[in-house]
Amino acid sequence: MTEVTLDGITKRFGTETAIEDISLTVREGEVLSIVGPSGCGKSTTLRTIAGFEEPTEGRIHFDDRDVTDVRAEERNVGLVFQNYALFKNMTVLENVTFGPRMQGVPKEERRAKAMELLELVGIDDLADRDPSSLSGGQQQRVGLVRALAIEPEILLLDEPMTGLDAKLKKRLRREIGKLLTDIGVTTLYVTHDQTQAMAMADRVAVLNDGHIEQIGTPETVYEQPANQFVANFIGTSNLLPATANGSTVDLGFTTIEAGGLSPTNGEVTVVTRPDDFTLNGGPIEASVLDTFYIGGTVQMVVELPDENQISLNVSPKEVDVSDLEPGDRINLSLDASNVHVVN
Amino acid sequence: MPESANRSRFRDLDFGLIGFYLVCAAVLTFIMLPVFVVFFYSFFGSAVGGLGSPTLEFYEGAISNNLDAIILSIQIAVITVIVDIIIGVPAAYTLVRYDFPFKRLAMELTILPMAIPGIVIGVAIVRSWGAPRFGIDIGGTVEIIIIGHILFTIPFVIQVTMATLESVNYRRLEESARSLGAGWLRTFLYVIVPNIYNGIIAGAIMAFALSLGEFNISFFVYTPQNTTLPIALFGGFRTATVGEASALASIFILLIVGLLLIVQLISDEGVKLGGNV
Repeated sequence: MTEVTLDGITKRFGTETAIEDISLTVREGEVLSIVGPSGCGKSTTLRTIAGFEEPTEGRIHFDDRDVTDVRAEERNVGLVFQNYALFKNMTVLENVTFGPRMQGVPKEERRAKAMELLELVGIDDLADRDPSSLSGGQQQRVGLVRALAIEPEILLLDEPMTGLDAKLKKRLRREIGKLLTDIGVTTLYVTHDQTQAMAMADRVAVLNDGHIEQIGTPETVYEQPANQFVANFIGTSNLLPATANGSTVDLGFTTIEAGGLSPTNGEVTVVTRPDDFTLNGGPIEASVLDTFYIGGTVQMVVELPDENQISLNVSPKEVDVSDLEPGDRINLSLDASNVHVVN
Repeated sequence: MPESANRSRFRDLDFGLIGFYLVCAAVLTFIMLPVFVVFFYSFFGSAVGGLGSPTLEFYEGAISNNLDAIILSIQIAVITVIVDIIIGVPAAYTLVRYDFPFKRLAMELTILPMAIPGIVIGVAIVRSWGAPRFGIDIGGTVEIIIIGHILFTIPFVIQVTMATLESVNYRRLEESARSLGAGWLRTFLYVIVPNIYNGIIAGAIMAFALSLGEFNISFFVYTPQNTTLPIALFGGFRTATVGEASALASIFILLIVGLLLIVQLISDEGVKLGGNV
């Protein structure tokens, strides 16, 4: 297993800076996910690790080996793309043995290894089929197994589940997650989908505008977002302006105990999640704007006295949606134990 | 529902739709009429211009009198296509794949021979290679015809190859192959070429058909010893019987249609190459 380190990686295309001073470590056997909106530089980061882009500044290490100047074909990096990029001129088995074949692994050995991997993802019976005759999920597995066949130092996944339907995504997420844990390969998973990132990754790096906003476990980035961007990008947030004053934070319509939350005094932003509010006749008055019944949850958009709009989730067991009309007055309470304050 | 069934049947009889069918039929007739006429005369033409009884003798005459031209044309077309592929496919790949100064201009230059009239290319070829240059003296040879044909056909191979490269998302294929340890040459030969094989073949067959039928350039550079099929056909219509000239034209059409059928077959079936467990 390999530890991959990016040390101050900057990549400019002409005058455009795609990524700036990115430093991060993908630990041995870890799944690190890079999330961010499109154009944030996550693909450039991945392509730089793969060796397709030469960094303008900075170094890349696989363990102690400096690979910055090593060509892509000599880096031993596994790559899985969104559209799988399977070789249509080869069968499934030929696709999987291609890497070992290029590396000069003897025929019998690479065949056996490929069959073993195909069996691991449950598609060994498709070995002699053409990739184009497979379903999206099957192609996805072939792409994954093909990348794993070279026993890569690091596995790079570039939006591998985009374009699959929601149910399949969920199933593959579980399967791939288990496979990666079993094999224990160091993995970098690039996606714009924060749900996938949180579900698959040991740690999440939130990228924005070419730089890292925060790296941490899924729990950390969700519960203690470093700034407004992270709070907004990871999950649904209600960002509320407030004034911090020593031990209390004044939201205007209510005051909560800071409890060591507030980093500074003065103008701050309070990050609340939709689950932090309870519809129980508490002290906060609000008016209903919209309700959406989506099965296990009712999502509500309400307006606070200061005209800020917030989202909240309530259980259909607590609220009968048919009783609520836009314009109705409701009373909420805020569970301050989970709120987080950023500057 | 009977009612909706009636309505849809009524819609099929829509006069607008009938109008479209009529236009389509007229266009097809317009395209096919000369072909039918030539086929007709190839069996029924007579030496004096009227109609004779059906016969295959014109075909015999057309083949025996023009065998050299037919063979030469096929030989020229084969060599033209081989050169087209050997230099055209890497050129197309380079143009699509790499960034360099004046890339757009270079791409447009490769279309230029398609846009310039053949007769102009013919004049230019004679001016360039008709007299000895740089110690190369190919005036009046088959080589000069081949050079003209390559010039005329290679844009088609390049264009089709470039379009196919874009359509197979070659960059992802290439990156996958390289990440799996294949250097650029093995990536190109094992992955890129087999994945755009259909396009290359389609372009090659188009080039073959164009070379076979090329008249304008050939007319400027041929000699009586190097007469190609279209030149022979042109001569035939002036000197031979209507029937024999029609038979030669029909043979020509059949050759081209045969090639088009192969193109169709390839694009339907696909071809698999480069795989090896």
